[in-house]
Amino acid sequence: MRRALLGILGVAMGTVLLVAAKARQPVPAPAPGPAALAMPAGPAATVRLPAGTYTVTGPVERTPHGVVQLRISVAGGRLVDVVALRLPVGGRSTEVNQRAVPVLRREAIAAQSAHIHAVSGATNTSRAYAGSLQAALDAAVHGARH
Amino acid sequence: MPSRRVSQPPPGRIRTHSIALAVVFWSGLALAVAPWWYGDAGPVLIGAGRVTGLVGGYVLLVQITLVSRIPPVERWLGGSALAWHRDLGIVVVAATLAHVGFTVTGYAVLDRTPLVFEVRSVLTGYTAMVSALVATLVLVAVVATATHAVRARLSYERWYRIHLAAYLVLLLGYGHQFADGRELERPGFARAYWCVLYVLALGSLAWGRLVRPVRMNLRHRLRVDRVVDESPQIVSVYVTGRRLADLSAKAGQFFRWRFLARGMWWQSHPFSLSAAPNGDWLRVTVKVVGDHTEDMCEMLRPGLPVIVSGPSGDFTADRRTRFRALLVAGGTGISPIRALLEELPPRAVVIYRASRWQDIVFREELHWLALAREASVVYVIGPRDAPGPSHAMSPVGLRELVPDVRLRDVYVCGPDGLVAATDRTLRELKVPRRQIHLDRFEF
Repeated sequence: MRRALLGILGVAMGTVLLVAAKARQPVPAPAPGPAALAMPAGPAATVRLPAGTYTVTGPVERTPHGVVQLRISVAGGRLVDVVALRLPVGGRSTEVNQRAVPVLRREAIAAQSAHIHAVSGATNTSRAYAGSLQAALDAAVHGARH
Repeated sequence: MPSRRVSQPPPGRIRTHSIALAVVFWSGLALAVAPWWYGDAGPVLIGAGRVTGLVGGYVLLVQITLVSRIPPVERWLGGSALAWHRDLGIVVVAATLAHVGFTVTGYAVLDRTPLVFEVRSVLTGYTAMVSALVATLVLVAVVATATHAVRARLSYERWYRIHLAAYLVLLLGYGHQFADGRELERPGFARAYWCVLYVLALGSLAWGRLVRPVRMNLRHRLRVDRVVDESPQIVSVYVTGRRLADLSAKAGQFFRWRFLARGMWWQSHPFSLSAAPNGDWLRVTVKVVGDHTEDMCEMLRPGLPVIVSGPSGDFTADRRTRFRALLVAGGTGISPIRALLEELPPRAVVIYRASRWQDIVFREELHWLALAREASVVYVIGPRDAPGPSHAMSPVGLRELVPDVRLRDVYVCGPDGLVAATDRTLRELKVPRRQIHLDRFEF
């Protein structure tokens, strides 16, 4: 029993320490010079957003059921919100998106990138969402602001 | 007789493997959490949810390995494997509940929605999340029934049936790990490593619980030879089989016994050998309590096939660190003690604790064993709080009985209370921890 309590304490302290250390992990400074800007981060990597607070609207992505367009909010160089400006509506699409969009938004903010996995049953929306998000993030990296 | 003492093998070297096991455990854990550390930086609460989830999943697989009965675990950890299993079970529950709490709260903060809606959104928005919820509930139930307070009120049979549901946790929990776990959903190191962890844990389980027992039983084909009454409540079962001389069992170890009689074949019970294995027969000595043991005396006809799993346990003579030993037995705890007396060096002292003289078994065997092994047997009879027994089991009394107790290995087997009390007494007498070997009646 004593060991179990020690174990719980260890997990608690370990988690706190790890999460705190991770939060203090130095975020690489925005790459200076045009050479770096010419090569935006690949889709798998965390996007290095320029510091500052701003929003960027992504392009319109098409799905078989309609279009998807997003606007991202950045604060202090971190992706803090994703708003869906346009989504497929009508019939099952509305119902599917009500379920999928919160999950996609949450995943995007947690990941700080467009590398998010598809929500089951909403593959097309997920793909378009990731596409619009990636484009918005790329635009932000290149300095486009709205 | 100095010549006989010289012929004894030197004391065994114990616990040399504990460092290796610790290294394996910690490096395994580090590798399990590493993908999160090198992955995306997300909000703090969600990060905490991921870390606790990874830790919980990892310790769950360690739990499976601990009870898989593969030889390294049986030999290196022995009885303490079960103690670790019980303690780590509580850690798994704590980590899992923290994982659920942190993740849902983290998402709720992100979405700026109330917790209740967030729970629904998580359950419907992700693959395999409903089964993960069921896995969590089963896990809590399984661990709750394994705590001392509840465990004491359940029969072994019922507890065992509930505990089997733990496999459901593995089955229902793994889906959400691989479908939704940020670290595991895509191919890469994390996914490969976690697959290896699953294969190792399930492979150990299949090896230790299926392949080894089947091979062993096919080889030895054990059968009941005869049943002997030792006292009104205690019976000995003699079991014979083929090639028993090749059986690798040692005195002090136990097997899990499954007697293939009607109504009994589906349950197996851990009983210690009550005599050192000798090539002709094995013997277990059982007190008639519980649902199962009562049937035993009536059903056990000679020739009845027996299936065993084992041998298990590290309560063996090769764990000793000294040339002399003190053996403390309480009630039917005499079984492994009686067996150990054959394999330990001469001049051991046996303290046999019982409430009444009627409960004493093996008097004659102990008498001739004591003669043959130059051992002495001390019977301490009476209720726990009677002046005689309570003095004998106190630090002062034990020192009077065995003046050189600090130079001996001490083997203790019996009910929980006796084992714990004796352990305390030995600590007070400053007997080094590595010389104390405990075997509790609990599974």
